[in-house]
Amino acid sequence: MVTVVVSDGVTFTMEQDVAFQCGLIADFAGGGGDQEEPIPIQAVNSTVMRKVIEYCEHHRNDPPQPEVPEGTPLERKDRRGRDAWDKQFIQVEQELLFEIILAANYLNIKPLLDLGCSQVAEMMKGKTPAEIQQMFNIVNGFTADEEAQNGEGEEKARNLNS
Amino acid sequence: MGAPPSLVGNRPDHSARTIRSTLSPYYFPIPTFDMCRRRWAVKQKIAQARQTIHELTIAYEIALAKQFAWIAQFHRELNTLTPIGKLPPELLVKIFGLCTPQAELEQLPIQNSYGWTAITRVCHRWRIVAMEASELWTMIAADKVSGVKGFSMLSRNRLLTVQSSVTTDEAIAPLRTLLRLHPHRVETLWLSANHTVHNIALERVSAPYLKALSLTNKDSFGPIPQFISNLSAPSLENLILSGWWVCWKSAIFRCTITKLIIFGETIRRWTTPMGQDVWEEMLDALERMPKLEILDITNLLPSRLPESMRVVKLPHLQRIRLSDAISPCMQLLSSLLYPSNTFIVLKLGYPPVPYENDLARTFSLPQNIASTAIIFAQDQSEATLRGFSRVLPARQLAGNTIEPRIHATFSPLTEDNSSYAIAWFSSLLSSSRVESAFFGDILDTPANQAEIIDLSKSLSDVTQLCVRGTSCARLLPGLLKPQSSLIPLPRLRNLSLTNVDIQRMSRRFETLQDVLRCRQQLIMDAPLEKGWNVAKDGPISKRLVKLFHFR
Repeated sequence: MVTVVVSDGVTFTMEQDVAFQCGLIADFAGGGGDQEEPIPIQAVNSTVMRKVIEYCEHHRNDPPQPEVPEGTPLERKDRRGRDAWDKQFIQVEQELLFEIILAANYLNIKPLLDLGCSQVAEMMKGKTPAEIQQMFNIVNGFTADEEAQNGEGEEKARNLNS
Repeated sequence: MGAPPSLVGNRPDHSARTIRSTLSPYYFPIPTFDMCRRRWAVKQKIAQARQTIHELTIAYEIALAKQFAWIAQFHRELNTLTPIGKLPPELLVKIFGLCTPQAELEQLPIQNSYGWTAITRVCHRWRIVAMEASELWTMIAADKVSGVKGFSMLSRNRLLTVQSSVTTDEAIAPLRTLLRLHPHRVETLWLSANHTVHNIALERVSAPYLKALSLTNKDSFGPIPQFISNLSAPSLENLILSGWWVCWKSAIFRCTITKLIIFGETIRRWTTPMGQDVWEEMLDALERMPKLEILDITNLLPSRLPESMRVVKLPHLQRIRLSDAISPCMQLLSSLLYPSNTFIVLKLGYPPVPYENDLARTFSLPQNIASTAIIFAQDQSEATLRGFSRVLPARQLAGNTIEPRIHATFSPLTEDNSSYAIAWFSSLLSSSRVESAFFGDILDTPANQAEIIDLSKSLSDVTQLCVRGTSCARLLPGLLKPQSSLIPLPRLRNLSLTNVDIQRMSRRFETLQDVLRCRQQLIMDAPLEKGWNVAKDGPISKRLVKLFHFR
């Protein structure tokens, strides 16, 4: 069994095959037997950790993903098939979604990171800049020059896509 | 401003000329020294005021720019507080990468391939991150010069995927520029154009890293240009040629190729003579490609078969797809030696010559029956049907431990060919394991009604049945209705109806419902908006009736 302590002091105990899906925990434990000392994970809170553990428990029996060499085109890297459970799992509030992504990145869980990123990409696809700004509550923060370029950019994009 | 007016130059002049001039209606007194001084002072003030205004304007603009920059900075700070603003640049790049259109050669062309660039206009940070990530800009639609220049610059030294669909000589300029400036960066090239445009675009091009090439001829079917043979692409692995009359002697068929897909004429016309020498050339070309993994040839096999049987070894072949008349397809299969687990897809039709022996020979060759062989038999002429009906029941599968799975397509059937069709269907289905069947646009004639009932006796292994068209669906009750104690299509689990107007089926629809109720379990797809109205147990999607359990 492996025990971790997250940022808000909550302790989680999980089986090794679940915990070792997190590259960070596997590195901490050194691939050895049961870890007596709890592993501190300061960058993740208990709400997110619960979701991460839920994901790892569901995928504990998955075969390992083949390593993709550096420089491989993006489409071959990240177009991992999502099953129905994954789709349901990642349907969460925006704030939690981005925290899951950050946690997956920090804990080094590539399949979960891919899942989160592809969910965000799906949300963005086919939307205009204004729609994306509204969806993610972003203000553009452009300088005057960039605003002018944007006007030209819009025009160019219209021409390119026409 | 100049010097103040001098006293010498403005001394009063009392000459006669001056006096005369004062009497003129146009008299204008010569300015006195004081007047000049005052005028000069006013001018000075105006200049100073202008200078002040200019300075104030600049100061105002600077202040405005500072304020704008401050507001922009404030907005950027605000953005960092949003959930997505917490993502580091590398994760943003990963997400942006999933928004970009990247595809394999067969999936090209991609429509609206620049649509993703909208993300660069979302906010300052996204723009900077996207502009810095060269891997996002590698897919270029070379139809506009501006796109080519911008993308080739932002992608820096990355290898590029280039697609271009042009019709005029002038429109090829962006692609030509790209190939001239960055030939060493093109990894995938998809070009659809007229014959002459191909010449202009690719002549004397050397692309050392070109791995995938697709050339589509928009003109009428014609010979592939000679320069293709001279195309310097030593790394070429995937080659797709469409609409070309292929010269198999071409040097483009080189040893590096692993995937070869060739589409010939859209509809086989059998007008171009192709003799035995073409067979030899084709086999020579295949022999030059020992690494071939995927071979796909549509409507381009030579019609005249060779007399001698020559075998070409393709030890890495994983998939063969042939679409042509039966004889040349079978001849080619017989001429190839490939692994026993090679996936075979045949789409057969329009045979001009007898084929019984070819079929018998082919099915008796162990290596030609793959574990997942699929036969598509679409748009058969009556000759095809007759040929199958005689040969298939007698075919030998000795040496093959695995039966081919067959997915059959029956469309269309008319009164003219139905008499042959049923004979063919029955023989094919009784002797083979047909797993799925598609019936499309079959006419609802008395002859077909009778025949379809006969046919149902043979469909013992069919698990999936798809029916397209109302007239075809009207035959369904006959196909599914129990004959005495036997239930036809006993293994049927999936029934799909498309393009069916239930209203027009009238009484047949009620019969069909009765027939369906006899079944223990059936998953069914049918359009709700067409008036489908039956009792249902399972979950219902908005447009489709799914997971029906009839009892």
